[in-house]
Amino acid sequence: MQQRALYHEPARPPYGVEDVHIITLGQADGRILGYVGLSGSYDQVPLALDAPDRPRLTTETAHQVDLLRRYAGPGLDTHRVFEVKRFLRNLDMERGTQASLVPWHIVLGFGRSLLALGGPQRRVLAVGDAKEQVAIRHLLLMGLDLEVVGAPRPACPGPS
Amino acid sequence: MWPIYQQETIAKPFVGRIPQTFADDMDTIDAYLAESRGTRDARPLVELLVRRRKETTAP
Repeated sequence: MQQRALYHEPARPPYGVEDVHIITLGQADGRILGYVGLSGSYDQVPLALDAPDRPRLTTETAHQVDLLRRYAGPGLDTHRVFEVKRFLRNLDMERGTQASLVPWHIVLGFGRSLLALGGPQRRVLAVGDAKEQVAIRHLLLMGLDLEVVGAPRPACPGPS
Repeated sequence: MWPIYQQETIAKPFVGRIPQTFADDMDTIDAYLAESRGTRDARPLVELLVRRRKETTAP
């Protein structure tokens, strides 16, 4: 399996919040052109975001930072937090119109998913890590109210 | 270490919330993609969203 470079996500336990997978497919051949994942909490019951026993998200562990404590409050708990995984475009695509649109199809599915997950009160947080000039630029342009930790609040970037 | 981790630019952690204007932004993106039907690139959409961000963040 390792020699063939086949990998898979660890099997999820039968509790917590299900993951969401957003995929853009090519109409002609059904190839996957873009992907982003929203990873849900493994907590059996929702925990307060400032709970001392709250398991740390992968992003928090990697950067050694508590991203959620400041958002603790009524209506938000660990079942309302989703980690953004692998905001990717198929790099085999030729540069051009189609390739430029793929990230926006992903953004649309991502945004619609957040709206559905957050409900009328928009009680949902999207957490992750990304490069400022790539995925964070898309997240900012799509209209998320974004806090980038360890960096000044991002300014609106111009088109490139 | 896998090559994907061997990068000079370090990713930064973020937390995103949904503002009041978010559904309208999704409608804008949806309409552009539906209208362009793959024939226009993303630049006009990006320019539109940049203008919108400047409007919504203006003091």
